[in-house]
Amino acid sequence: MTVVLKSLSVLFFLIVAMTTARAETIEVTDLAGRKVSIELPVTRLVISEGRYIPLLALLRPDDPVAGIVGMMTPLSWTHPGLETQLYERFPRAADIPLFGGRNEDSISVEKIIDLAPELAIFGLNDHGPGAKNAELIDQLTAAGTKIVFIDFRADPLHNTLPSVKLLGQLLGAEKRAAEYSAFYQQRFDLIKQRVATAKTRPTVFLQAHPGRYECCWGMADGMLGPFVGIAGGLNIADAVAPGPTAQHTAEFLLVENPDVWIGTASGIYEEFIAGAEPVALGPGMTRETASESLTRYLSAPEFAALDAVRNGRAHSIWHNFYNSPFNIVALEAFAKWIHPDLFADLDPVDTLTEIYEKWLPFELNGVYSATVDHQK
Amino acid sequence: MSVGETSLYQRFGTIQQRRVLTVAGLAIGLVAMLALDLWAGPAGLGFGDIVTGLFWPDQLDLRPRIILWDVRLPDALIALAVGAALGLAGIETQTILDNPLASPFTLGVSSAAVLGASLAIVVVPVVPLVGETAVLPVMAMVFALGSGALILMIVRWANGARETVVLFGIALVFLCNALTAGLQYLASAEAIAQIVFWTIGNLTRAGWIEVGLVSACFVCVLPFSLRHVWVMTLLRGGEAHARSMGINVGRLRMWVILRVSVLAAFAVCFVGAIGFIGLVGPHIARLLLGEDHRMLVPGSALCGALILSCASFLSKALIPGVIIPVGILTAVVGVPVFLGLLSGRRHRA
Repeated sequence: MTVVLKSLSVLFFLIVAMTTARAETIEVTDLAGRKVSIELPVTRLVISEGRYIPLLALLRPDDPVAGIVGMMTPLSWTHPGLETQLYERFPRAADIPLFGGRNEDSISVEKIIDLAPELAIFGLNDHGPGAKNAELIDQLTAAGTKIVFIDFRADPLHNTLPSVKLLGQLLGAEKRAAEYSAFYQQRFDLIKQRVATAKTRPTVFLQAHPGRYECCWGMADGMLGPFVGIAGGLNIADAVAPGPTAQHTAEFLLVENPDVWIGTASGIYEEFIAGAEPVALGPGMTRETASESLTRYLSAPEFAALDAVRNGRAHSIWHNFYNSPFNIVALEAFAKWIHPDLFADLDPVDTLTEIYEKWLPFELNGVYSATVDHQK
Repeated sequence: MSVGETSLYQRFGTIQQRRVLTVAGLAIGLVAMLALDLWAGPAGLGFGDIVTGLFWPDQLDLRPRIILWDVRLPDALIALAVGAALGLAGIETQTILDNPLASPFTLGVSSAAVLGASLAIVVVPVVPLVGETAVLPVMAMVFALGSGALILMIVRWANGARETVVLFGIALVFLCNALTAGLQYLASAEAIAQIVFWTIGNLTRAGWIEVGLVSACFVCVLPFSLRHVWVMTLLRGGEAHARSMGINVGRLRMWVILRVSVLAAFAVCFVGAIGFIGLVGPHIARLLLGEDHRMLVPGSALCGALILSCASFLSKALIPGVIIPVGILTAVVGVPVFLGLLSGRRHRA
């Protein structure tokens, strides 16, 4: 046993010596505006939420979990279907230790230190530790772990591509990061160009978690809210909400009678099958069941009376796009729904398919947007 | 007030008259508040439209009709029903436990309801015979009633000693809160948010069925409360005094706690833990009406309904188009009224 241990540690030091020999130190500025200098390549890292794994897969499709020695939450929390694929293809992913529960307070700093990561990737505003958690940052820094903050949630409009670029730099995947950014930017620009020619700005209500939260939580200038403006719509919640999100009465909806209604669906296939209320999308759902789920929710009298529902302009979008580098799909969907005449040639489903085929080592399973069946 | 030549009997008559008028005033105020609550909302329906819509719904267009009948009316009426139920439950709890800080929540009813609701949100259980959307209120009610049953067992076991009941109730509150916190620790962020919203208390989640159930419960319990007004008034003179008059206080305590638990369970399970009403509603009524339960029971129910109705109005009116959960506003409305009455009494004294 000791012999094995000894030879292992010799091997370890050899590897360390080799890597340090060609090490290079770079300085980056993270999304919290902190300057961090870090030695490349990074061989041990931790992430806060499992939902960053698709991002890592985008940058390193050969082994998305390479070097990950710990994470706070597993991927199953937000995307159970994808986790199944991850475990099938990269069995090591199932053994990654977890160092917390479901929020910042549940984190065991000791566990992170014990995992000895060189780099910790946290979200500016996710369910893990934030940039204001000075105690944790100090403790980890003292233990030799560099921390960088990325963001797809607080300000997805401005932080998505910088976050992708930052991780590309840190993980030695600059080329892929640049390629994806170009892909994203090209689509983003197309939408901006065409929206600039639009003569009208249809009114839109963007409702968070329909069926899970009671009626009606609107996204104003938080989360996916700003996407409505970029997509050429007028977000009616933004005019009245005092914060990034707020609860509105059904009356507000009926009075404003928005041209387009969009719900961010957080229901999953299992809930849909059980007859649960949350509007469902994602793995397991088909075009028909997704539409059925949405139509079922919108059959309540206060929704059924909305023009958006009666005219078939009520839609659901997968909720988890709100914290994802693939949020361009949501933006395209919004644009197509708000200005169907301008974006007749655009299909967000194709974009999502392309992202999976071109960038991810996973198969696209399920449906991620749907439209109400107003004939019912 | 000058004593003068008026006899004690005449003075009592005057006071009694004034109290009846106060109760009548509260009732009129409640109707006015209901009208205001029905009128408030971003749709800008005039009083005329509302009256027309109430009596001849078919004369309204589709959207105003839905606004009035499916959005405003259930919310406004559940405010009355829940407020009245909590006011009634509050006054009875305070008297029966002889404790001004007592309320249905001291008995753990609302914490238990929150625990039940949290379980429903986090675990999403499938309950036989209960539809998916009804699971949450049903679980909240089952837990609230369960806590009531536990308290009743304690009352029996302690022979109705009120300190034991209060202490046990508080222990139950802490236990339920701890278990809810434990559930939140396991829950997803969305579920935690859902629990928080539920706990704050909100009227918009209630529809006609909920209005019917809470009202029915109130109407069923009220006659029993009215039957007990004399003994409850007597109890205000002190437990020993009441005993000496031949009242079985332990038994009375059982009955009152039973009906209070049922009432509070029905009130909170549909709208969430709207805490403050059951505590301050009775106190406002007492400042206005004195200790006589003949006046205090209807007065407290009216005060509860009035505060919640006022909060419901404000929750829609403060930021047009946006709802501020009513649980946030009940204390904001109730405390100034309460303090005003308190200082008024100091000046008179």
